[in-house]
Amino acid sequence: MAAKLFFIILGISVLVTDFPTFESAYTMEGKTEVSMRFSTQEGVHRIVFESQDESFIKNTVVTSTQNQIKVQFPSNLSLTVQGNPDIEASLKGRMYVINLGYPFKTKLLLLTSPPRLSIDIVQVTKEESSQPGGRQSSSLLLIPNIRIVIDPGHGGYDLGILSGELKEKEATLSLARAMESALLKKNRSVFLTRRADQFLSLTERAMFANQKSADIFISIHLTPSQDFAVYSSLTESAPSDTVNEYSIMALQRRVIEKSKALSEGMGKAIKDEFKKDVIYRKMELPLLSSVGTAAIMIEVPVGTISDQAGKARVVDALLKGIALYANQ
Amino acid sequence: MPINRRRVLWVLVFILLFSGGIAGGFFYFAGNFGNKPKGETISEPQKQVDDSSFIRVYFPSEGRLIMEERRVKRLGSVTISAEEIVEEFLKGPSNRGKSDVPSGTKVLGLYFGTDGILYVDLSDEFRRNFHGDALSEFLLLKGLYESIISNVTGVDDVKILIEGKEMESIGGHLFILYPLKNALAEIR
Repeated sequence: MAAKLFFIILGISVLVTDFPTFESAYTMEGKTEVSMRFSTQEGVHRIVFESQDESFIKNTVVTSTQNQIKVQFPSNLSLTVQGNPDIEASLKGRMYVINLGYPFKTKLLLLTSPPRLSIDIVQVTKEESSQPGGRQSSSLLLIPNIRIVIDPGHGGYDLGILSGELKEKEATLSLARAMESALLKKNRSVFLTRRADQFLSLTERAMFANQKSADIFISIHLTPSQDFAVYSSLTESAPSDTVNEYSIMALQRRVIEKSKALSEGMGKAIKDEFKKDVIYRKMELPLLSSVGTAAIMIEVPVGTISDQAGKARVVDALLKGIALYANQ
Repeated sequence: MPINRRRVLWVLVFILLFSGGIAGGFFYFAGNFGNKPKGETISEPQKQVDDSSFIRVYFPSEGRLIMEERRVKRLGSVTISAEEIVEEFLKGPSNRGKSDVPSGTKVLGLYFGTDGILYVDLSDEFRRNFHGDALSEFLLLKGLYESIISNVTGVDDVKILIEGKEMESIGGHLFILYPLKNALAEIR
């Protein structure tokens, strides 16, 4: 397998000769100094980004598509490449893009003393990479150990959208279980509101999330539309002196800013993965209003999950969205 | 001068017969037409024109509400008017191609509460035959609500019942447990 791997690295090295400014001991001209090391051992290629700035490394987000890895740094950097990596790569602003040209799996490690991010890359077959849950999200290890509740929409006699043979209640459960599987492999705390084809009321779903003291609540639905839609609660717009059924259960009011951030992170991850605009909607959805944590509802276009590879991409994008939010 | 008594007699008989005829005619016509109400003289074609009204019905279609004017029988009480409107709403838009109105739904009853809330009892098809996303569900409820509120005066809010019972949701996104006004706040 190792013989099939070809790596070319185009490293960009910026030598800064000025004296350090008062910004910090490890920034030069407002750029954080980062060194990159490359090594190969038993078919596994390891790239390590190291910096003295711990928050810089911690807030770096790694995302991946079929043949490409993107390392998004939180601010401008001065990159020094050590060794002679055979990977086709380039630094564009804060983004370090690695083009591999073959399907792969990644494993990420966040380490301290000194702060560093390690990316292990191993080539896989196309079949392995396209299995939902089997395609490992490189964002997984950047998701801190928070409590995530995933809500597969509909269920039981509530079929949801019907599109040919596809039933929304089954598709949402499949996506949720794939996300759960990926998160459990990395020992993350994840809970599903339903694990089988059963009807659950909106109230029961919200109660479940609140009982689990969730940090993130994501309700997964489908849409016949071409575009992804991310919903958050409209709770904030209710006048504070208004008392009605919705304001009484509006647990969202105190966490609405978190929900907005989750909505934006998720939208960005989806946009990066699918190169499509995402529709953001704020609506008085009782499920979201009743959850006392960052809560969003996502509608996935039916057309994107017509095959296993599509499902895997959706799952990956959703996990990246969680990582983007959790690392803000 | 001698009076021709025979001629005078004939003149008197003529005057009596003439007066009797006039009086008989008067009483005959007064008896036939005098007690009838004036309204009943309206001709049949005029009755048809006055018994129809135009209503505005809002239908969900392709991610938005479309308005259609429909001609219906003259609107009467709140419940009779609302029933006409809901029946029209359930027929869907003229171009049914992309309508999200659940097919086969029947109106089971309408009740107008003293609190200004109109209770619309629909058959289970309204829930069972709805297969849309959150926006479709919102527009379905908004269309029904707007169609009623904009045509029937006195109705403050609308609550939907399914087969005579309260249901939590039509399509798994929005509540119908409560009257619709608050559930249909704006989308941003």
